[in-house]
Amino acid sequence: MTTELVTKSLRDNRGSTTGWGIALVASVLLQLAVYPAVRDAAGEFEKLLDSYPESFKALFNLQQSLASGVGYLQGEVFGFLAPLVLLGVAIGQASRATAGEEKAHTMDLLLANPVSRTRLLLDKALAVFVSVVLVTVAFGTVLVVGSSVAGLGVPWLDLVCAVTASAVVALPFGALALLIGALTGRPGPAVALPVGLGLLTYLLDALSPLSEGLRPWQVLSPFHHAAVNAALNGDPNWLGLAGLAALTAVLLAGAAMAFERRDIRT
Amino acid sequence: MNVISTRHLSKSYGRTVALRDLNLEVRSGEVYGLLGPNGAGKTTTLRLLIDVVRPTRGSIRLFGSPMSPRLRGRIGYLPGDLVLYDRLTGADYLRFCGALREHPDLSEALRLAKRLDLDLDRRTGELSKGNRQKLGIVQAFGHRPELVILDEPASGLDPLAQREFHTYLREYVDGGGTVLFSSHVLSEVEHVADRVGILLAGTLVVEDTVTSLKANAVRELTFTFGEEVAAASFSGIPGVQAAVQVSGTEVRCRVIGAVGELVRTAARFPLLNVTSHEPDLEDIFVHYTEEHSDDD
Repeated sequence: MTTELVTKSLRDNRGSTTGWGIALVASVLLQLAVYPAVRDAAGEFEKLLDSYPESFKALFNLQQSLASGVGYLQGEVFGFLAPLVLLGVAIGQASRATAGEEKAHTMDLLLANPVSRTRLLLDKALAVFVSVVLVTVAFGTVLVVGSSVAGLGVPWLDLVCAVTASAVVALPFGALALLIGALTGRPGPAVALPVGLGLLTYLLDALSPLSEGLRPWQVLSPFHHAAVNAALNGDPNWLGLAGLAALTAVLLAGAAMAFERRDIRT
Repeated sequence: MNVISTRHLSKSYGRTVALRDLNLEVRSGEVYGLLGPNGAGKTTTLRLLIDVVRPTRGSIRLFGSPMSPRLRGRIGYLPGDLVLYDRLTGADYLRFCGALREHPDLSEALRLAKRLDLDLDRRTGELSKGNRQKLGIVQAFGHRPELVILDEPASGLDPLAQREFHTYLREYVDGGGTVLFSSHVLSEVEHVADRVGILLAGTLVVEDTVTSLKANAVRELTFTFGEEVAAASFSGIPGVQAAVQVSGTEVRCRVIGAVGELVRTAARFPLLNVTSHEPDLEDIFVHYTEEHSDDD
């Protein structure tokens, strides 16, 4: 590890990390603040939700009663907000890791230093990972403390597991962004492809319980293996999470190989 | 010892050949100027040497070894398309480079910055093009490398800074350093290079000292006589390419190599004045381009 490279990348990403982090923490606080009101009016919400199509509820992870702490968090925090932000941090920063320097024309001079391309790429990947961890820790802390204050009644360990699963599922998407950036030297495709794939596999995972045709494909979705809902219900899929970590490692190795072989853009 | 040695170094981008069969040898302690018009392959050559692009064919040895990340610590590099990190100050940037090169001692960099009159406390994004170039030069030499590879180093520098930089380059080489730089400005090459290579369309067409390069280039001599002299009197003299009648008493000759025979012929007439135009880079390019295309 080259400390200087990691800290510089972290500094460069500071705006993105704090921006996404504040957005997530503030949204979580807001959701938790309105929970007591939602719980008290749960009967009315249930009636409203019953009128929604199943696919809509699946899409926004509204499978359990909003009155229960777990159901509320599934729908309001883990359903959409947390994956959006954590994937945003991972993909956004990873897509700029090497491709951003190439686009800015700073890569030639950076690589003229006695640092191998693999070292450079892995240091930049580490910086992205640290950013994801920082946002995750802020998210988890606010969620655990806030849930207890708002009286959601969800065990803190389940919250920690669900937060961890939400973060782990973002990692392969970040690694994919890094791989595409390393292959092409262009941040555009390095954002677009993982975002598209993230959306597609999210929908695949959310909607496949409703469709016989989709169900065999559900296994292809990283969100399926992260099993955030199960984690929130006290049953985390450790094997699935380990699988996602392994997939991340494979994508990173691919990114390093691609980057070692390529001509740097002018 | 050769600090840089390439064998059949070639680079193609798709069907475009950027560099063809380059056998370049740069000796320890010399300043080698790579000269050529835009698009001749100068930048491609330097980027191949620094290993940011990979050869299609051929090999590179630096200090007798193939390129490795470790080896890059012994080299300083200034890219032609210099972009620095806008938010860092000059001093921050030098510290960053120093850390990556495991050379935290900034004394040489600070000394050179002072000589070039560069303010290191300002963010690089606020610097003028010339001052950014100065910072680029300072970072290339800051870690006391054994070899520096510079792509158009004087571009954007004011004449004063250029002169100071050239003086520094000489001192650096006298201290045992080796320099390979590219340029399209003959006067710059003339000032500092020991040897020059001319690249044209990806091929090294000639390699020589500046003096003999100029001696073999086309130059123009204009003779003014006290009476009418026909231009035809000068055609057929060895070395004379063309003789043009400017006016009745004035003849302009384009000549390659020694001018003795031409001047002796002119002296047989009542010669009032001779003016000689130093060959400029364009003349030399034109000369070698013509020669180069004749070879094909």
